[in-house]
Amino acid sequence: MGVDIRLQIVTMLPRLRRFARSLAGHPDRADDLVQATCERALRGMDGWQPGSRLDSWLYRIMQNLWIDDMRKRRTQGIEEPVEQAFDLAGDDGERQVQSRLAAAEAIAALGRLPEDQRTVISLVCIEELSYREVASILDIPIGTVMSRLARGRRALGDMLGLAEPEVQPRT
Amino acid sequence: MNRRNMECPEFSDETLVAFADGELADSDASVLRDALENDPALKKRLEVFVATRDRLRADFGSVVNEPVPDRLTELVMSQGMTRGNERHRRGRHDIPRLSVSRFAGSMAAAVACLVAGLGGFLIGSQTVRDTGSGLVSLTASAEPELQRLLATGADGAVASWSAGNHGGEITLEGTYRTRAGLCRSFSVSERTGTASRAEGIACLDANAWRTRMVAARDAADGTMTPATGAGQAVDAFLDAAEAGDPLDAATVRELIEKDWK
Repeated sequence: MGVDIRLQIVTMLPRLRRFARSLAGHPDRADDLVQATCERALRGMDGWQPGSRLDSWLYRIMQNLWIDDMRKRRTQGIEEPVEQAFDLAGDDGERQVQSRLAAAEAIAALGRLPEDQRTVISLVCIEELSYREVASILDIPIGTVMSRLARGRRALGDMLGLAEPEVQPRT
Repeated sequence: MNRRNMECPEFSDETLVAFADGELADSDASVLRDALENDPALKKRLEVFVATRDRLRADFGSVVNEPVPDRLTELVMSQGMTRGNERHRRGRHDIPRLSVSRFAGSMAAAVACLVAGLGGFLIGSQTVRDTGSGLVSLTASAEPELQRLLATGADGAVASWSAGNHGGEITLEGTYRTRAGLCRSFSVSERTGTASRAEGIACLDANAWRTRMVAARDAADGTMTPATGAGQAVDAFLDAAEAGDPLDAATVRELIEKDWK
């Protein structure tokens, strides 16, 4: 594999870690997922089409590995204490502590969503991918992307107190 | 979207979420925008989709600024590499790097890594975004002095730069023979402002020094962490360019005297 591809992957590591964190919650488990993703990618670079988006290919690998991992563990995703997800032990100021608490609350809420909704929400809301890109990565229709986003974000809004209780969802 | 009629349109959650994400077709977005002006309940339904996206983006944003564990960077750069490349990396780490302690950061720096003018050599069509670290303006401001230093300075040389109300220092770190030709690593600091700092590589191209890559950490909060992100990004570049050990001082002096020819 060319060294140029390696450098591209290195520059993507922070984003891969973020996606992994949204899936796995716990930083260590997330980094294990990133490591497994990189190993799989480095072994199977012939599966990547030059000219296509490398990040989309890596997201797809990570998503597949995560699903496999969950099946093996027979869990529904985030199982570790979410307080560890953003290093809450830090003592670098009240504002950062509050910010990390808010982040922990969000990741806990995200972790309570069904896996299919959590992945789509993460790729769109956190990784800022387009619906078309997400549909391609997950091999699902764009309409399914939209319905998962709608259901998942309404549930997330309820959990995080962002939704208006009197407003009824419509489909 | 579901619409009973144009006077009383009804919008599904899927339509609202697509609108919130900027994914709704222009014609449908226009109809929805009109409806939102006179329908507070509809606006509240939309708000949850906007708020959830904004909340997640903000809460997870900090992850990309965390230091990337060395094991991940090393895995990517070394798995399946030849022993020669490993020897090169060790060779560089053996020499003192002036920038490491000053340009503390993380491999999150790679996210703020601006790869400039590679012409397909390393990055191809990949675009890496500047995350607002002030990197572009910092390096552009220091460019004239950087050019002078690259052409005439020995490794370790330090020069001041200034542009308007800004100013700082440039330090030459090392000189390497690479797959891209002769390259020099450098660091740029700014004395004032938001603690903008950068570390980069310039390579000789047709007798002109072109900046090939610049990495910086986002230091907007003023915090410094004891990692070496920008340095790691430079190392990653040098590895990718198959750089040898840094040239010794006598060789560099000779190259300068011969105007790098």
